[in-house]
Amino acid sequence: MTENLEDIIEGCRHKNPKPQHLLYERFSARMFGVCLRYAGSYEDAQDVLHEGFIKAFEKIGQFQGKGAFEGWLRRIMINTALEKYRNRYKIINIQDNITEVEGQGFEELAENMTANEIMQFIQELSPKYRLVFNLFAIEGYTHKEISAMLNITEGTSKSDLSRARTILQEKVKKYYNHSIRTGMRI
Amino acid sequence: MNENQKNIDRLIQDKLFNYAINPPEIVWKKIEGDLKQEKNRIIIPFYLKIAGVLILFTGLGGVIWKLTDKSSPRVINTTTAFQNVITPSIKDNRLANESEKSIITNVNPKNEVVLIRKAVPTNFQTHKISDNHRLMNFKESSVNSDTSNNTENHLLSSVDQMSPADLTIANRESQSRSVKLDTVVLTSNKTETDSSANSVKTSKPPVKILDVFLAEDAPKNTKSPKWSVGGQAGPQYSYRDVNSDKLTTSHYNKVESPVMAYAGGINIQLEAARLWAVQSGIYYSKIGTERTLDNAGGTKVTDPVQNWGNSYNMTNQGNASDVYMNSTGEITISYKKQEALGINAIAATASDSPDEYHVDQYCEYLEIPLILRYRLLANKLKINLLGGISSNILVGNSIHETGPNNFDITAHIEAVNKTNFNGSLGFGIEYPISGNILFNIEPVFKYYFSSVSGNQDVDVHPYSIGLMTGISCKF
Repeated sequence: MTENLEDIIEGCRHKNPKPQHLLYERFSARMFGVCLRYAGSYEDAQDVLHEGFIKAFEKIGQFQGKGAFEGWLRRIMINTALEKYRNRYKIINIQDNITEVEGQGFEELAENMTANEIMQFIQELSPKYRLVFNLFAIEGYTHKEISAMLNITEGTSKSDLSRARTILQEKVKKYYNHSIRTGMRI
Repeated sequence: MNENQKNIDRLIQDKLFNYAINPPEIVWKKIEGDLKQEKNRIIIPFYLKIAGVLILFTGLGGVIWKLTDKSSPRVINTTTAFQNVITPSIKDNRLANESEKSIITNVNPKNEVVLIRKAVPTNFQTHKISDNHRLMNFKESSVNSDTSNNTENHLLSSVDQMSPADLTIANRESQSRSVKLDTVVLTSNKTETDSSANSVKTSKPPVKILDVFLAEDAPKNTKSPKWSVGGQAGPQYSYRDVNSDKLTTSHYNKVESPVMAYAGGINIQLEAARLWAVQSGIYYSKIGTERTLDNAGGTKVTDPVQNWGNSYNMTNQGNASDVYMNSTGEITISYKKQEALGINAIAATASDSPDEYHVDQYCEYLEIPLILRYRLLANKLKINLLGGISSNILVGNSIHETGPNNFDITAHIEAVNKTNFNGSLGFGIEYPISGNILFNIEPVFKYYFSSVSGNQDVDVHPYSIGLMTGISCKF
């Protein structure tokens, strides 16, 4: 059994277990990274990854080979996460204490932080802000696209993004101050 | 958005876009479990559910119709009842002339006279039975008359308290149903019988009419059987139709060929109308194809399109498994598994001719048909045109490969659809063997509407021509 991606995909179309496992092994780590960004917890991210791969195996016949397979798989994961959190988006009240933080200096702080640390801050955002921030700042969707995906107005999307940034800056700032006080690396 | 924010977004994007972390092993275990479950799950398509509901309702409708059939209730309520209690029937030949041979006079224990008239004057409806003059004449006549050529008067004279309305209704019914009014049941309140003379004497008219019923030809105390059950079996010649935008269908049409298989099962049939019948049942049906391997040289040959049709790599002797394709799907042969089972799995060599290898692929289905039958010929030999749809559930999916050097292995094809749906068309020929037992023979063509292959890139529609023979029993 060859291991080039086309053969693996073809095997998955035939619902063969071995290519399915190969596909999972090849993409699960990166897709789990995506899931962690959208999920509120490690356990939720596992659920999204699970559901996302099941959907991918079911729909793999629809992959036409146009564009990268990873992009196609990533969209499935994102959509799965959105389905999971779309309802929560509407009902969760924001409890974050928002304090305006100067943007100046944040860039330097963020640059020194590890991906894991940034990931942790993103996960701590409420779903409302986490979804918009991920979709805009990391995936590169426009506010128009986000408004359609989340069934909100463009204005709301912009407002939520702004607040998400502010909260993140606040968290980074707090983390930075705490680290300075305790002598932790930053 | 200011430049600073853009930079922050870009920085976070750089750090997180390709962020990767291995998920725990349990996630794959769950996915694997779900995929296996999905694979084993039999998905019943919507149309099969509809077919099932139709079969169910047809069956239920048949049962209800059978239980509530009132096509001749009065016959059942009167004549049948009398038959159960009547002392030996008396045929009053003196009351029957040559043209009306079937005037029967029965006497029941209540001394009621039952006159059953089988052959009716052809102009019965012109008798003006509601005519008062006639009715008056009936009263004056005697049932015990020896005047055999005056039968009509005898009969009518028995109707002492006949209700003109009843006869009018009877007459109207006879017209509306386009049948002859050919049977009249009359009774007398007081009757004496003289069995030795085979005659009936009415000591005291009046006689009153108890019932009037209709029949098409003759009094029918029993209904013709409408249900039948039977069994059939026979060979069927099967092949498939392959369509695909991505697959080189000509390649498979070249290396694959039809196979002879068989089918059989039990059926139940209901004659729902004079010329129509509906049939269902459960059948086992085996269909398939045969293919020869087009390359045995040890080089893995790739089909020109989409890597489909990888021919069998004959030199994979040491490998745990080999994979090759036919039009239905991917065939995986596990040598180790074969050997573990004690099955001879000697691999082929490069010098073997591909023509020496044959792969028989079979799909076995449980089939639930819903067939309509229209009677074309209704003599002793009956010929029916039949057509319908069937739901099919896959119960077997096997590959049998044979070749030189006792090469003999079995395998199966991955991703064969678990359900299918076919249409059938044919002729049913029936011939009675004895009583209600019939021999039948049915040439039938079937076409499977759903693709047998789970691969969405290719449509594989099997078809078969079968010759089913069997017997059925009417009841």
